[in-house]
Amino acid sequence: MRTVLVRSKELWSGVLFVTIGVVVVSMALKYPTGTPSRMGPGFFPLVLGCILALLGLIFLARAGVRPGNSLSGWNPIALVCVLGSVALFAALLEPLGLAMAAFVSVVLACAAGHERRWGQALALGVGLALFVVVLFVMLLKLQVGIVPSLWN
Amino acid sequence: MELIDHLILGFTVALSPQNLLYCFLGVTVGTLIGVLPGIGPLAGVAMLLPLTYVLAPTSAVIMLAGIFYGAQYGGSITSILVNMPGDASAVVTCIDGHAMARQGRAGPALAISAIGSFFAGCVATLAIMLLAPPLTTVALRFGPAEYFALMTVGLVMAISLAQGDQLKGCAMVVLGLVLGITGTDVQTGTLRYTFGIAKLGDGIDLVSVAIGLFGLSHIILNLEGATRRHLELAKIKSLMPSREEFSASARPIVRGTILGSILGVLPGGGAVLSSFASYTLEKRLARDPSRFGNGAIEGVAGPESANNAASQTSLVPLMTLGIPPNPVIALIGGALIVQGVIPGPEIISKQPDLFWGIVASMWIGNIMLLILNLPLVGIWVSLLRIPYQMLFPAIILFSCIGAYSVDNSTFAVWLCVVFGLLGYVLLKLEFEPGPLLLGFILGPMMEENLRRAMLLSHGDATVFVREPISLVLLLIALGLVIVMALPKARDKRKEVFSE
Repeated sequence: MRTVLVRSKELWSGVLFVTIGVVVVSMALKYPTGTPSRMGPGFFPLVLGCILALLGLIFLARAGVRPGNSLSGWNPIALVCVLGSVALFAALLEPLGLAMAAFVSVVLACAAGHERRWGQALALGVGLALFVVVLFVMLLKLQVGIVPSLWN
Repeated sequence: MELIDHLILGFTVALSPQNLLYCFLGVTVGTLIGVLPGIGPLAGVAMLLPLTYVLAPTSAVIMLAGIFYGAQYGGSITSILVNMPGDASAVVTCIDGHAMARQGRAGPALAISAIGSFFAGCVATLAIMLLAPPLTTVALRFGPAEYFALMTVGLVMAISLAQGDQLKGCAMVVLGLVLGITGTDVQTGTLRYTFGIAKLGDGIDLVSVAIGLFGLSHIILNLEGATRRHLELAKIKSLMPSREEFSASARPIVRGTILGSILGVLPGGGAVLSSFASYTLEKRLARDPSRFGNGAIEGVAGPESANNAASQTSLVPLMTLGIPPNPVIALIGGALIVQGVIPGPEIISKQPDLFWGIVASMWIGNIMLLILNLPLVGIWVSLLRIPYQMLFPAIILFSCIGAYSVDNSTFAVWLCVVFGLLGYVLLKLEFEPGPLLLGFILGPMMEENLRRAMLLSHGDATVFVREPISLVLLLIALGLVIVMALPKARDKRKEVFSE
């Protein structure tokens, strides 16, 4: 029974939304609430936060009655590689320029797949990097450096 | 005849070589996005938004709208041939379309869906021409209370459409509203939910949210799925439907078109609602409902016409009320704002060339799509053979560049990471991100209209039920809530979604 509850989607939905609701409400309380005719910036979010927390409590209660579906397993490699690929692009774009950032990001993204063929990943990285440089910078005049800014 | 003058103006704009080119580019890219599994129209438009910044406003919207309705066409190819819906509105097409493909009737299914979409597109274009001008006069009578009530209807509708649990849909909408109002409060200048990050003062950008929730999170989930995906492509023998298939499809196409044109205009409605509604309607009307699910051509003809009609008429609320009824239209509205055009009732009177040019371009775009989809279907089918292994890194890269180019800042790319993670967690917990996005878009508008309405009524909340239009809208919303809560409707809903 306990293991069922720990993996229950309802339970974690409840935890998530109670947390979000509490954060939203506690921050909304710092903004002026105002009066009904002159609502302050805190009024609307305060109401929304309460609804979120309430919904979270309902999810928790339901989890107690019937835990519902269990969470399926997750694949940390896919998660880390995909989000890491985007994060690397964000981190490298300005210092290293579009070409390098695109290459690194594509190669890391490839690692998220089921087949890890490095040759293919490198080739795809080079190809896509060239493609986006030509398309976005040369044709569409996107304002971004192509090569590391130190070179200029 | 005013309508004729409008048509002539529209076609003069749409037939300029430049606009023809962007229309063609739009529908081609749209078909591509629709065909490729794992990328829907929303992530596609978000990704390609930067391509339009260098264009004139009319060309930009012509291209973006082309991507949107082109994706509806393309999506049906993938649904029928490999049983993989590109987005929620294509789910229905999979049921009978793929069943037909398994029986060796993929060709007729594709042909009927393209012909139905074409017919629907033409009628919907006409519907926009007739509907939009009178709606703008209604829109001018809308006060804050009416706007608030209208958005309430839209959000309730989005919840009722969400697959699975409606309480979860409700949670998504409310979370979306909170995310939507993040940033500087317009009336007081107070910074809300910025966590001290200066960049968040301008609010969260829709493109980052769309890419994170609809692009990245789905990629992660796809990669997490079965070890390797082998697409089983159904073979196309002959495209030509038989005479029986034609006559069986005619009425469903007409009914789907009417249904879609109406439902597309409703906020929160659009393509998904109309394809489900059309499927249910056809099944109800059929002499032998048991054929549905086993390759009934009516089940392809109706929904495919309906979703295409709806995707086109969903531009109407944006152009008349300034309210985007669905997230893709919101992105198009965002593109207009970047171009310095404020979506709303004044577009038609102040920039008739923009409005009528877009409408006329849709008709032209539909002809292009018919050619792209019928004689050239083989090209798209071969694209389905590109392995996902090579596809998803490209989608990720294009998404990053799309987010960056919104205001040339890597902050938007970081936001994509955050929303990618959020989307992943939500999908894992069986929350559907669609309603969140609608809440996100409508959040700021809803709050502003609520505050204005309450200010004008001196704090008297009964203003929402004293104004007749607002009262009617709120009653509609209430009716929807009651229907959702009824046990019978719940079972019915479960039945529809389980199909």
